[in-house]
Amino acid sequence: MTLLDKVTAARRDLADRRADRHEADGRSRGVAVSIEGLGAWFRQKRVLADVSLEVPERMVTAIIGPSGSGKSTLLRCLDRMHEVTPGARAEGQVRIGDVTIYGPGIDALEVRSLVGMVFQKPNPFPTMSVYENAAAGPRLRGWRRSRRELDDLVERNLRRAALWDEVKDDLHRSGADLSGGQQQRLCIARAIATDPRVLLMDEPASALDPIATYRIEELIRELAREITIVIVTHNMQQASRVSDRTAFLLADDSGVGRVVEYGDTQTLFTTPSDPRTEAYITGRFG
Amino acid sequence: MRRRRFADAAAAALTGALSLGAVAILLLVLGHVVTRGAPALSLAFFVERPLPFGEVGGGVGPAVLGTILMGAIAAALAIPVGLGGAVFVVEYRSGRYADIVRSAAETIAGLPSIVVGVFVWAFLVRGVIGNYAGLAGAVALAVIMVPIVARSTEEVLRLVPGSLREAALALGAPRWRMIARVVLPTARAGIATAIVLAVARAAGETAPLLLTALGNVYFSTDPFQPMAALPLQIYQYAVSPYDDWHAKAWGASLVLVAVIGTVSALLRTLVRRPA
Repeated sequence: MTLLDKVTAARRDLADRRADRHEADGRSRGVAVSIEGLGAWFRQKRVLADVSLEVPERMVTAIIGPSGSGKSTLLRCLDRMHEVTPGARAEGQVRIGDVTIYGPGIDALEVRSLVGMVFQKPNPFPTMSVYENAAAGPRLRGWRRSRRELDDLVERNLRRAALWDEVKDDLHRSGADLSGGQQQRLCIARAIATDPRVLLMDEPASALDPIATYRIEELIRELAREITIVIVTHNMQQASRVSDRTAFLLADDSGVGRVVEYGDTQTLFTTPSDPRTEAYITGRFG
Repeated sequence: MRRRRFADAAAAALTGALSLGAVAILLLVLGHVVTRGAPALSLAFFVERPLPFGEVGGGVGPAVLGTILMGAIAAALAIPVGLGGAVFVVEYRSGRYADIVRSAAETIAGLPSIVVGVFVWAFLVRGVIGNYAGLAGAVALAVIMVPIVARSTEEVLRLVPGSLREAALALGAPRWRMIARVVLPTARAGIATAIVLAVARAAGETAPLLLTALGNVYFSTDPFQPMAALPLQIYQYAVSPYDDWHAKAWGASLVLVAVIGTVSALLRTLVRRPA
């Protein structure tokens, strides 16, 4: 059996497990993120309109769509990272748990401590060691922790990110010395170390090789037992493998992205209700 | 095909020859300073004060001390201002005001250093302090250093990947802590280079010191009194009609190069040490 076969088999297994779990307890969960009438702009240009979605807790929700459909923007609106870009703003109601994140008096920093984020390109802090990267969240927020508490936190989260065994012998080497896949798992460890309710992932595997990608996907399924995950992906196979729910976004002629269809991943990929969804998932455009 | 290959080879040869020119200039200058300056060197040359013409011996001790003192005071004044300005322009960039800060730095960088000297002379020597003083010299040097620190720091801050800033913000870091814990450490080596550049440039300045620190043949650490400096000492020795003083001018030049080289090397090893 070649390595590729192994990966393929493992992926099939992953999809089966997902399906089982999905059928067992799929519809009885609470709502982790509730989005109503969300719109987003870059300066005068509108890029997202009328987005309303309910993201179930402790599940994986995928956002798919062609380039320029506003997938990443939608994701970045969920932890108020969209507004970091100069001139960018968002409007609408987004609730995470009981926090209305665009509500009056709500600080962006508060929101970001409820939500973790993993980016497309692995971005460990190059001046920090593996240990310091894993501990970066608490430190950057100014939490006071004893050495021992930090040691525990680092180990626990490197384990959760399935990286511990590979780095435990030398936690003080630079995070930048790891392989791409390891760097991305380190970024995941860093993002979950502050125990966010929601983990946002913006094409987390698109810069990785197939084996590293598989490990990330496996990790996503594992983490979904305890954290709500929203993942943007270009890769429809990936969406069908890892997610429970899928939202399909599409931009109109003036470049404004909207949700075309949102539902169970299996339903959306097998019997889509909108002809545009069908056209996209069968590869007729995008 | 052959022509293209020929053109490529020609371009490589030409740029190679020109790059040799840059190396040659450096070697020529350094070589000359070392061969002419070395004979004047002795331990006494470093630690003794200059003697009037005709007396045997004497050195540039006060000038070494003065250059180090004024350099240190100037750095202490200029680095926070230059660094702070660069951080503001890159990390907070609130539009028009940031543009004003940047063009102010560019304008100062374009000022002839003698003009800076005249200004500090009018403002401090004739005004606040009332006489020629080491502190006035340090302020003049600081004015020259600020734009160098600011511009070079701005450039290295822009080289810090935006993805690192986003990672820090997404972790819930306030902006200032993102700057202190992520941006500045990442740019550390580049900022050190910026500071070295500014210190080296300021340590070699003569014109602004003529009108501010004046020079001193005695050891003085009082910043409110005239202070010696290596460039001033070199100038004084070099314009004299005596062969012995000319030799001392070369010796002092070598000492100046050595002081700048030592400070640069020191700063660089300091930042290379793992945090």
